[in-house]
Amino acid sequence: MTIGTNIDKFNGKKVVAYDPETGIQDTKVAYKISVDYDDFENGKRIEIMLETFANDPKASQVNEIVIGCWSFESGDNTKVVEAFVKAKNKLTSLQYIFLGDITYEETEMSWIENSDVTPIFNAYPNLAHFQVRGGNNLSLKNLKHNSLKTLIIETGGMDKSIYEEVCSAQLPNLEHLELWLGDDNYGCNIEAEDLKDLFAGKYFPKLKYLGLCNYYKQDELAVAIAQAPILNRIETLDLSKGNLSDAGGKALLTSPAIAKLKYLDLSHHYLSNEVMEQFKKLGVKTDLDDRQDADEYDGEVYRYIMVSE
Amino acid sequence: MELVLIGSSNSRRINFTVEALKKSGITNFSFISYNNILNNKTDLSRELHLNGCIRLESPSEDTELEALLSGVNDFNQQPKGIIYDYSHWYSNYSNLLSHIEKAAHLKKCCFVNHPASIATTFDKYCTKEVLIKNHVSCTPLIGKIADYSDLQNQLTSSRINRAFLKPRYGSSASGVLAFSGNQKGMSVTSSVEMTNSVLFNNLKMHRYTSPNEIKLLIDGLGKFGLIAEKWVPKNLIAEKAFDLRIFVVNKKVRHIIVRTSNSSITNLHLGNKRGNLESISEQYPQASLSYIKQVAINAVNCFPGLFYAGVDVILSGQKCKPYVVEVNCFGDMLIGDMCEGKTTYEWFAEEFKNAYLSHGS
Repeated sequence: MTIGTNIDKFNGKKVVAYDPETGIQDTKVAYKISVDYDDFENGKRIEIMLETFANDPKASQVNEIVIGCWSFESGDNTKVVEAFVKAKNKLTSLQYIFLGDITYEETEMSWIENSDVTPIFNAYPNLAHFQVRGGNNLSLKNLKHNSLKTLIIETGGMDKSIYEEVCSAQLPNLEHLELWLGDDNYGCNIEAEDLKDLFAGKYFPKLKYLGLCNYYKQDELAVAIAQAPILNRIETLDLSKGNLSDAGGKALLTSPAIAKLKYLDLSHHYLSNEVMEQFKKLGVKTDLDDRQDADEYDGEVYRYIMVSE
Repeated sequence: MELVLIGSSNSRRINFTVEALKKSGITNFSFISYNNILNNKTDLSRELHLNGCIRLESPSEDTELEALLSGVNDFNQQPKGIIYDYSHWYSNYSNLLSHIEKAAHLKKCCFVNHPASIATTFDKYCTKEVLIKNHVSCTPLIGKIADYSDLQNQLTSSRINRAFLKPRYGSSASGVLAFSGNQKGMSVTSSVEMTNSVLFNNLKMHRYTSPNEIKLLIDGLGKFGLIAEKWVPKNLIAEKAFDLRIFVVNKKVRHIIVRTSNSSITNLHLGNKRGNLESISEQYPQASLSYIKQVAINAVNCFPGLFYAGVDVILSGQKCKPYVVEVNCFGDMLIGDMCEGKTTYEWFAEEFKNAYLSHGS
């Protein structure tokens, strides 16, 4: 499955395409910097547009930037990262970045080419929200940031090195961590066992939202986290977009800590009616939308995660 | 003027045409099957009328005819849906068209869709060359692909990692592959099914990720004539990629069908759903429908003597720039679709009257 829409809201603001001809009009909207296929063929590049954006008289008032598809030629986003760094003294109010609002037609998630994004964090000490799509060659090494509150990494198959870099990052004020772990066919080599220190509560003292989503072994993960100390600290657990079934659902229901959560996101799941009813009775606000029917071939049941390709 | 319909036997298309002609008050027509011409059971010199007109129909949906044209021995013993070398079929069909053209010339007959343009539009490579030469916006051609390593070389030199591969002479999504690849891996999405190294057309989408299988697939199709085009990202509506089938007749656009898909391959008969033109205009306010229609008309105008065609167009980017993907000279079978109360066949009959019969008889 795939991502078929571009976001229309970011940080609560309507997303609007940046047009260099008209410039930054209004900071009540979130600007998206993107080039379409035709523009790209004619030599337009996001890194150049970002530079132009940063030179706009209103650039210092901008809080959010969304970046679209950076290449239709399998190129990575190194130059985009460089452009952000170069603009650091101009985009002085920038706090919310989404690097990679890309649909499957522009580039399928597993074909997005990323790079080392740590320089962006170093350049923007006031950064509060960083969201990135595409796990190929993504790196966040030696990440240290005092202000970051939200980190979201969307992949169709996350390499363990990315997870390890996140855990060794120094993010003392991180409140929202969301990792789309993906599928082994697309590069996920993370087992539930690998997450035990995270589950033990070893990292991110201020964490309120933990999302471990879009995972092809969502049941094993649910079983492992159900009895984990981290649940006593957080308010929201997000296990959405994966292939969670009754095995994982029942494990969560037996967890004493689950009942104390404020919100449980289990959307895109394979839970039975019975188990769904039990969640409704739990007393925790639970998202049970987007129930899936498992495919069956030759007697074997196939349950898919939401985004892998 | 006598109109002769030439097509496959027991053809739905001929039936639709006949109904539309009758409804329009045209009764002066007759039918000849391709099969009988090939079997010499029909003598065209006797059947064609002086100064008459010929409407050639698609040679599809007739296994006897396909067997005759395919050049495959024991065609009827082949497993259903097997992909064979369409270049032989194309060569035989082109010869049949020439034969009909010669007979028509002797009787001073004109054609609704001229056989030379029918032959050109059945060849996707030639079609693209004509569109490019005439500066009609179309999905860019990368080149003819002989086999898998040829594809790799061409993609490397174009510095791209994905492409649409299509059989040069096929139609209706048969054998289309959406290919993506880089040093780490590759994938192909296609309705082509490969069982024991034999290729079949299947209505379901498959996804191949094994380099060995992909190599077999592309080597196999490459032998029958394969072309590669750049993958221009299609715009999405309700999270689905879509394209447009635009029916042009007598230089006017009549029907526009929106075809959506969960994958990047949008042909309707693969079980894909139709979409809605109004919702496209809503989501893409910068789209210019009149410009899109003009591009479709210009595409048909590139082919001399093409009175009608179904033009496949994709839209890309916020401004919905149109790119012509294909020109289908028999692309008028849009079942159940009405435009201003008429089917494509009824619009044909109406325009045929305007263009051919307004001078009497």
